[in-house]
Amino acid sequence: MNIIECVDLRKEYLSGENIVNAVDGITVAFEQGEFCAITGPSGSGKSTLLHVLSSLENPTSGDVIYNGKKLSGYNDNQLSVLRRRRFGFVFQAYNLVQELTGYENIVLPVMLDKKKVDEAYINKVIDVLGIGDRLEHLPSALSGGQQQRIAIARALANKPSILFADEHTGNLDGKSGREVLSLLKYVSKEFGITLILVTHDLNVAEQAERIISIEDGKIVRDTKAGV
Amino acid sequence: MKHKNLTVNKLAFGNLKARRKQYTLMIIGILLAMIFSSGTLFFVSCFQSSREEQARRESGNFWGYFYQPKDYIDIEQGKKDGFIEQYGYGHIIGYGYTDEEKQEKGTPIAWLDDDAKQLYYVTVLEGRYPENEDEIALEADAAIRLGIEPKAGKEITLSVLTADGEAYLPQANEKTYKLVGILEDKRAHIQNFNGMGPENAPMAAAFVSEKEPLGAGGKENIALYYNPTKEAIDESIKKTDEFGNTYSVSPLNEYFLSDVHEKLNPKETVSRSMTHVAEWYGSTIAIFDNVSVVAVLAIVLMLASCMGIINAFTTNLQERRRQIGLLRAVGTTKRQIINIFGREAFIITLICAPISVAISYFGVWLFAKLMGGSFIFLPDPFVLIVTTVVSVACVMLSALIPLIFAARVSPMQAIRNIDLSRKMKHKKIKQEKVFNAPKLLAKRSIKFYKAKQIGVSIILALTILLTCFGFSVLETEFLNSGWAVYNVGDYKVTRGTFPMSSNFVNMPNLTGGISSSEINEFAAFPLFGSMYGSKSYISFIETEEYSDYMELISLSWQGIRYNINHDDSLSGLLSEEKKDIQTLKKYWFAEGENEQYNALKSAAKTENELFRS
Repeated sequence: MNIIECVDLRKEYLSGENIVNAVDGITVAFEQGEFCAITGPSGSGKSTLLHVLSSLENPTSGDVIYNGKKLSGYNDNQLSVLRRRRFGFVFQAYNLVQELTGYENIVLPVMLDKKKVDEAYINKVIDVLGIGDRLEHLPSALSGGQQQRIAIARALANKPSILFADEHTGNLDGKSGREVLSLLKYVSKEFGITLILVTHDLNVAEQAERIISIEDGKIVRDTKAGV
Repeated sequence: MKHKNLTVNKLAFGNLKARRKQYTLMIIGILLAMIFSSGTLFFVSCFQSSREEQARRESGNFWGYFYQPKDYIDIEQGKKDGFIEQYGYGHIIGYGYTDEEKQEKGTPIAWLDDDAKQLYYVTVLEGRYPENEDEIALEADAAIRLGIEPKAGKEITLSVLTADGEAYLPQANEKTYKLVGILEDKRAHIQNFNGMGPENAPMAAAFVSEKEPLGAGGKENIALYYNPTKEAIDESIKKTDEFGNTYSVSPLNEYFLSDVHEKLNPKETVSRSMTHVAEWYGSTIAIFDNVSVVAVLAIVLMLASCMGIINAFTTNLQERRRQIGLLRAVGTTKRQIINIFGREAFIITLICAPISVAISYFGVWLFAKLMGGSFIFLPDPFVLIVTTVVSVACVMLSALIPLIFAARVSPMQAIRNIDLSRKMKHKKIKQEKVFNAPKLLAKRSIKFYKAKQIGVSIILALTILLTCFGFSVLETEFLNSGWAVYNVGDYKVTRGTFPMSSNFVNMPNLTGGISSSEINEFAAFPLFGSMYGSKSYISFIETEEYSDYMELISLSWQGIRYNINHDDSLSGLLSEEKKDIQTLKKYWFAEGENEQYNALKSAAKTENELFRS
């Protein structure tokens, strides 16, 4: 069953006098629990595809369909709620709120949703990610790997159905990058979450069950592991 | 492990704590803006109440005054009938003077009941109000007129004529009082004010305690101070005269007129109802009643303060676009963004409001102290509350504008600063051959935000311009107000003493004015034998005796006034624009050119005849 899909998706940018087609008519679907890597050279449009899929950006044309519902029919408020409850994000630059401790960063989406924190679930996530001893520290006191783990925990805090990761290992050294990727794979399986990650690192992409290659805003290859 | 829950307040406080430096600067800016606006509001309010208070101190807090009212006014019935709000009695026990030859320089001596004290608005400048027998308090002007130094604490001796229920017994007795207090002048203002006042009913300017005994064979003369009800003044009754013409009359006038007509023998008229002088003062000097001045000032202040606050919040939020973008990316709605960052603004406001109001309060208090007696510090708790609420509302509304813009930040802001990159594209920034990062960044920043910088400068210039305009209007209004005309003068010239008075005030903003040389000219004029008082708020030029010539002058003055009211050919002769010193001198010192003057001259009466009449 498709959890999210896009149909003839286009995203155009104005670059000076020229229009740049960052995403050029892509139609693709992702299944529930799938681990997919979107890869391609720099400027191919892979990050833009992820941003449009995750509703961080609006498409120029085409539709994103989540759970059978077109996101074009959602207003800004509904999209915010969708991102908060159903999507998790892991960014290259971690993007933690510097003024909040690790724990507060993790529960931030729960607070925004005005829900009570599910302590058992959050503690499990924290245990899995191995950040129990760093929770009271501000991000500035944490290493890159630790910050990214906090960011993953935050992405999982509201039990999302899809986790979007955009070059999440880009700022990490090789060892930390591998550890974080293993964790992502583990938590997606453990909590049954669809994992869509963007990377230009083929070593990272090879870990995925499905690899989508993009060039000039178009899908040039869509392969599944073992196929 | 148990963790504390995250709340919006915690997020706001966390932000405030982490951005202490930035917020300190911002708080200083907001504080200055709030002090500026609340201080001015407070000052305006204090200024107004100060003027009103000053008017009350100088003219009392009563509407009208009757001498011997019991002969013709049933004031108690008036109160029952809803015409009179409050009344009090002055009990005149005698008439005190120091110079047998100049009895007219003296003053009735009275004690006031509690209501009369309130209505007369007794204001002690020095010492205290008399509490025991043989103690007396004098109005400063009355002391000068008696030739007594207006200084509390010494003994004075007066010749006192005992009141006999109508006037005074002929035989004077020497009486020694302890001068315990100097009071704010009222009689001088009221009696000399614009020709109003009880011309034949001298008001007391010397007060004793109620324990002071009445002289042998005496009977108190009664003075009534009263305030009518608001309805009695504001409402009007439609009446029809004998010719069938309809006219309006206030219930109060109707009441007094009917009573006076029924009971009063005109020959015994020794009373005169007055306009509420303090109210007249108050309204004339209420320059801040002028809507345009207030509007200009308020707009200027609001603009200046709000622009400062908007700028402070915009700068703060601009620096935090990434954080806002991040919050948007993880699902924060626009409303939540406004709530989170608005909470910060509210906390700042709560810090700033009491501090700024306290500083404004202290500032105005200090100003009043420095100004001495001319500015009375009268804090109004209501204004204090309004000022606080307005300040808080002002900051929150100003903060709302940048907050709304902040809420529009794209979630993508967290990932890349697309705003900047787009602007860079639009500006088509040329590649530099030599790459000097700091220089390049500085140049580009100026380019990107040039429009905003210009906008701020324009608003700043506009604010300064409007402020200047506001104050120029204010100054003009102030100079043209009755206050300036009647109270900025250096000299007040009266003819004679209480029976005859007229306000000859140096009017600096009218052509001519009374110069020092003209004052000397007055003094040197044969009929003006002496002048006492020095260059001060009020000085008097009096005749040695009440001569035919003075009678002529007063009659000519009255004649001209009569003609202003009833004869078109002479109306406007003494209208405001022509009422310069030359015109006044013409009617005072030279023979008139008109028949009216000559007729009056030939009809002049002797001093004795005048007093009898």
